[in-house]
Amino acid sequence: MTERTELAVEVRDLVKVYPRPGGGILRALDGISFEVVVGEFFGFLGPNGAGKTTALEIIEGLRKPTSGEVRVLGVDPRRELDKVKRVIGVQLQAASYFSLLTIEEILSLFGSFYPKQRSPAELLDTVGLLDKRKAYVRQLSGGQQRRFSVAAALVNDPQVVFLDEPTTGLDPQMRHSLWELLQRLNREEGKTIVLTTHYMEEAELLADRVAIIDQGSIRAIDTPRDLIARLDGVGHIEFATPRPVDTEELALLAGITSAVAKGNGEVGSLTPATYQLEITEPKTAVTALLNWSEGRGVELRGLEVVPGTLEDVFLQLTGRELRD
Amino acid sequence: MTAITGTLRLAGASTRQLLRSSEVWATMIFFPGALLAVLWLFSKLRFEFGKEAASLMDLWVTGMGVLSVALGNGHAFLANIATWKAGGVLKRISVTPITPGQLIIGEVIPRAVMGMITILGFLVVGGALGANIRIGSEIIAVIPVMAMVTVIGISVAFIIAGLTRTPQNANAVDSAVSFPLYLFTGAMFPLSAFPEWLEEAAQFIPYTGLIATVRGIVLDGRPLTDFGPELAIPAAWMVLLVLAAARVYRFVK
Repeated sequence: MTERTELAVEVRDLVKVYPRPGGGILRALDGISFEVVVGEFFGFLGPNGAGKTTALEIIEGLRKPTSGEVRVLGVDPRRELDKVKRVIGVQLQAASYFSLLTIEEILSLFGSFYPKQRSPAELLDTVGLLDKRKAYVRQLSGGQQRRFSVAAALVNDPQVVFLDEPTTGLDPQMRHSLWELLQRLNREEGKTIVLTTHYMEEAELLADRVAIIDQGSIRAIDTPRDLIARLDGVGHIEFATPRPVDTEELALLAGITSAVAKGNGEVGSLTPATYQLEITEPKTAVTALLNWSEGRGVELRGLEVVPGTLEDVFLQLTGRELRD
Repeated sequence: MTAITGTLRLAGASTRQLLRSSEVWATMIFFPGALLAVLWLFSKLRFEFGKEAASLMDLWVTGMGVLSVALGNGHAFLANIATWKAGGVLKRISVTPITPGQLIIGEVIPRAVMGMITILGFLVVGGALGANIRIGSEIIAVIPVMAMVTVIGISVAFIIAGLTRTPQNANAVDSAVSFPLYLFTGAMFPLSAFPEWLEEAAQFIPYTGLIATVRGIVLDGRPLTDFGPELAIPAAWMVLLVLAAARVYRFVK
């Protein structure tokens, strides 16, 4: 097998430009490039409007790029779209299904569009909906509908599965349940999965590698661990004090790069002052902080060392929070 | 082979949905039934104009029957595809190997069959209620005419769905298109009662020749081959509308 065939997705210098309604243009994608290896779980992390869905829909052949190259398992979707459609499974961000067919009938119908197909009962069993096989889509809960749309993406036993924000709008329990399903598909069935999300914990938990995308550009691609390791700081310390303290003094301590007060902590206030310290080396910073508190006679309450997250990576790369 | 299987499975799924749809039962069973009941109340009325006269029952069972089945079918279909477009069903289908052409064929087959069954039932019941309908072998000749009626109705539905953004807009355009058809195709009033220029202009409406053909077959017992000129204009319309539908209607923008 050559190196080329081991790539599930190749994207080179992809640009997508839209005309703005009032004149001018919007560069939804500004020359992005990345590769996804066969068997990989690849995450696209970025806020709404970053270009994640546009990129995915170009790869799936739903949209035409302004320029750039795309290959799915070595095939160009612009030239051989039908060939690409047969080997990919797609879960769209917003899609509905025939309202007067049961979920089992929909899977059976969609399966008939492909030369290779999986049985509806097996798929429904995989996503935990076998007992709902005679239900219409509208009779399913939000979480069950998302599970069903994942099942519908698997009807042709695809090699590459594209999932566009599959857990958006789900409660934490349903989200965790869907995460388990996706991990199973990737690890046990060997599916290559490309997922977009704006939940950093989702990308961090599921993805082997994450591309951080913002305003149409990829700012970084790496494993979640290596992205976090690239941070100037490796995390932060949080604590509260019964009375306000000087943040400038805290920022000068060893292993600490900055300090901010988050609570009011005014004299006479019932709310204690809370502080967040950006740190470069946890052991040094905690030791310095404890020595400082002892010397100043300041009680530290709820001291917590919080490791860096992809949220911090995004903030450092873009200057904005992921949920802005 | 997969393409044929997929199209046939789409047609099967469409049939199943049609049979489960209350709107289809309303437009294809309840409305024609209610129309027949109303016509029966006026079965003694006759149109008289100049030297000519026509039974209202004969005129409306054939004209209104054909048109209401065609438009009811088209209307129910339009509601469906406009909703599919707005709701993302078509976008979901577009990521499968199914083409718009396969979807159109898959939808047209069961609706054409349903339209033909309804119009045949309408004519038979109309005949039983007093219209001078010939219920014999000649009624078979109505089938290809009704197939043209269905294809034209569904093509118009695809064009309207393709040109409008929401199901509400589609419904409004559909109503605006449908209303004049009842007045100017000869469905309700004899064309020979119109001013000469309007009578000639009405021949260019796609349904006019089809209604005249159905009337000629079931009221006068004339063979289908007598209606070459009447069917030429609807046939040309049918080709144009199918091409326009395929061009205008897209799964996604």
